[in-house]
Amino acid sequence: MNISLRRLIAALPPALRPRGVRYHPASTHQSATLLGKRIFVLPTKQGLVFIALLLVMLLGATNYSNNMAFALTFMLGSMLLVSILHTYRNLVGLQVRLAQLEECFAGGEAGFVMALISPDSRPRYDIELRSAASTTAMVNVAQRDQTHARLALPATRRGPLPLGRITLTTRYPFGLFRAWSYVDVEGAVLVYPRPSITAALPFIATAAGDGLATMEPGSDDFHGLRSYQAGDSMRHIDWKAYARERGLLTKQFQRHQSPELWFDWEATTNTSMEDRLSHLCRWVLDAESRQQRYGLRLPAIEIAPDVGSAQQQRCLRQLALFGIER
Amino acid sequence: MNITVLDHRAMSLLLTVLLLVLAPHFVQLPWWESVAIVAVGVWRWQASRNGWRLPGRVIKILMIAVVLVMILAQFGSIVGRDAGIALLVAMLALKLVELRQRRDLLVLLYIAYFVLATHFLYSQTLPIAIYVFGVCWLLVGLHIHLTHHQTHPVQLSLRTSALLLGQALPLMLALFVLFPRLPGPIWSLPKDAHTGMTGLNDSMSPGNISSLSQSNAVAFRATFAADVPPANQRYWRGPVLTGTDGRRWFPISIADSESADVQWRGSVVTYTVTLEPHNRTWLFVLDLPAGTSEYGHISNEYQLLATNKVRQRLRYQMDSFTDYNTGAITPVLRNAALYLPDQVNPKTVALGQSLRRSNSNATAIIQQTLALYRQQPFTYTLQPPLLRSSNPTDEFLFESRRGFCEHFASSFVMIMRAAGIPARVVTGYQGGELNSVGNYFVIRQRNAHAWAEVWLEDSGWVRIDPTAAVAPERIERGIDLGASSENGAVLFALPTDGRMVDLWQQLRQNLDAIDNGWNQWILGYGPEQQAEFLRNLGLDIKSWRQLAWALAIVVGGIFIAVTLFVLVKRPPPLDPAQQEYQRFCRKLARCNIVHESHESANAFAQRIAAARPDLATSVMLITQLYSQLRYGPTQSTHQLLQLKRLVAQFRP
Repeated sequence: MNISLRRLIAALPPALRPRGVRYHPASTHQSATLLGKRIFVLPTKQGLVFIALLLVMLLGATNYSNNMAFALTFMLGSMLLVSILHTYRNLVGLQVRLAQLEECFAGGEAGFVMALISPDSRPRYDIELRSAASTTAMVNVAQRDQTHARLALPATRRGPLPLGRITLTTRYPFGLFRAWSYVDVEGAVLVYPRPSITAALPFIATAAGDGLATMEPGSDDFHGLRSYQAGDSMRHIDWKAYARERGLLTKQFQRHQSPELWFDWEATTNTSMEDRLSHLCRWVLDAESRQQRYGLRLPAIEIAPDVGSAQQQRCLRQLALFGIER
Repeated sequence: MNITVLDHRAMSLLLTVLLLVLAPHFVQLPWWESVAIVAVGVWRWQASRNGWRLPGRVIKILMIAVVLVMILAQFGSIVGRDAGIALLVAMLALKLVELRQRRDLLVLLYIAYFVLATHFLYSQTLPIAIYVFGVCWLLVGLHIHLTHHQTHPVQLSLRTSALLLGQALPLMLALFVLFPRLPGPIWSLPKDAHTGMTGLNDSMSPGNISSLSQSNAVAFRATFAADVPPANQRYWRGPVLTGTDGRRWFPISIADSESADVQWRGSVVTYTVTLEPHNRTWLFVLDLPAGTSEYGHISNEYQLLATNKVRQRLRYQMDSFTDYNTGAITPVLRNAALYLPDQVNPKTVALGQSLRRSNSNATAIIQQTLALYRQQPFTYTLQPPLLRSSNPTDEFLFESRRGFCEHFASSFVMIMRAAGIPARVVTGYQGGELNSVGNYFVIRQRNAHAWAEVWLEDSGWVRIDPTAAVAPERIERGIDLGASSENGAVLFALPTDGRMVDLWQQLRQNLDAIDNGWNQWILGYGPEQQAEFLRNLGLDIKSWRQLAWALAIVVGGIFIAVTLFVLVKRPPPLDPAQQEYQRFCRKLARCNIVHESHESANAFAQRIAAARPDLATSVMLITQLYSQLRYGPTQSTHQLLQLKRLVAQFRP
């Protein structure tokens, strides 16, 4: 869509703004259908130029009283009219489905994989999807088939990130007319808190206070060294190796019997809520990468210790949604 | 920044279609431009194939300058039909040179659409129309093909193009019939807009042309409502030349009273003329026109003159009488028809005066003059010698004695005037060829003729054709071009009875009948025809507003119908086995054995077998094959063919 038209639409009072198809997917099997009354068709800039060309031809034909020039002009004009139907038909009845949601951390990019489905015997050509932040390439959809197209949205804050209004556009067959329809997608990607980079894992789950301060040195065995990663504790850096110019290395410890870690809201030292959640997020990710059992304790929420992707997702979901009205 | 918008394959397609778009213009473009355009096309093709760099801005500006200068040098202007088209075509070629982006491609396609329409400024014949619409289909296909973002088979684009054009056809026809036609040009046409229109001149100078144009171009076509007058009375009256300076003959407008009462005798001849545009005001009518016409007025010299120059094909109906007495003439007309320039053609004047002295009445003078043409060695030829002396009529009558109708008519009128008989030269067409397919006469440029008219006391204006005195065949049969002999003397066409000639004649007449229909109904469709057509449909449209309403309603209705047709959901096509089975069911239905929708094929077969044991075997075979084809794990074409054959042979 050209920018001036989009600005014009944005300037309209809400009641007059073009309505989209409401799409509230309860599952990824549900789809939305582009209904005829929700499809808009307008000439493109090239279309307007073409119409101007036809007017010039019409003037010429009249001036020279040239019947064959009339016939050719009328043929092209009629074809232009008929092409509107084909542009419209290319979009009407098309189904859209949220095929896959790619969750992410704040600061990352949330992915929405959309499936375009042609439910009837008509192939669809050159369909473009556009969200507020991204545009897909033109895709074709074969008859009774589907094609996937991925839209991405930058995730700035944790919590559910709805895709919002997307625009499906086609300029088939000539690029002289543009048909489009809006779909208001209510399906959302859950954005997890941005993991903090400066929180080391507490070694002992404590009920209160700073977990790092009450660490018992004998409880871990030195396991090995790995290269430093942002967020590793300063205490675990192998300073001797650093002095020997072997770079920053972090000592790693392993427990013999892995005790359960409790990540407690109260155990975080940060002051702001978002920072605390970032902190907890980092712990969850680290524990998961070490395959340690962990539990999460938030005000009024407690998740029993476990390990595995299901546990990680459970915890991250709680962190993402903490304090957000659902 | 060589952005390639087209791969080499697409570029080849584009260049091919553009070549087809331009091809008819190569005939009339300056040769250097045609050559340059083809060269640019070949270069662009090579550049696309080998990935050559496109020229920079300096070279492009130079090229534009060179083209402008060349066109200016050729035409002396860049406006006007020929120069304008030369410029448009040059722009197309230049755009091809700088084809880098999508936008350039679109400009190229749009110019190509426009160029297609310009072919009709030169010719609107049926073959050209078929060609242009064919190329239009290719161009639309190319437009669709190049708009696609995904690669796409060309055949599919061409099919879409055909589909779009087919669906647009009803709308186009409605627009063609109902779109308001303005008569005449909106703004002044360039001077060269009507070149190429041939026809009679408004003056003649016998002896100035050494060779008569023998064009086969059609001047007009005429259909007689009832009886056709014989060939020697089919004189089509055009400009009347009363004025002369002894060498040149020209029309003079005599601002005089109405023409006197004419006594019409015999029966009226009603006919319709379809006149080719000739950029003049005169309309040809059979000698002599009676009554009035809505297309013009009849002058006091019995000439039908249109209000505007005829620039599009014009169809008009007229009544004429071949037998008439125009009665008395006014003194002004009489003086004009007796005028002789002083001191020119003294021998001719002397001849006339001596004829007057030796004869008692006008009829005798005329008879004796015509006898003179017959007895003296006059030759009818299309290539007479030039008459260079200051007394051309004397030179013709007494020295060269070779000439065509103009020479005979003008010299005859000169003698008559000298003898005191009012006379004038009338030009027009004589004869014409019957097209037996369409039952009309074709009058071509080579039928152009000049004859004399004299005024007699008791019969009024009388047509005298001195050419007929010398070469009566010219009047009876017409001239055959191929048969004129080496020395230019004309041999007149005799009827030939070879089969090939007949066949050729037949074919030519068929083609001309198609051409005539095309001209009358398609190309000749103008404001008058539109009004007449709508009247015939029962729509008496009087104002623009009404026409606009009719247009909106009809075009809107057709558009709705096309919309329903395009958007309706059609059931998916049946598979071939199913189609055969349905044919089988239809055959049975004709014998009152109807397949119920709930019934399986097998149950149906058993029911038939019970009702008609004679059909049992074939029905079982068909049902078995159908079930296998439809539900079996594998389908063979062999089985399908067998099913087809069985169903075809099945006779319940």
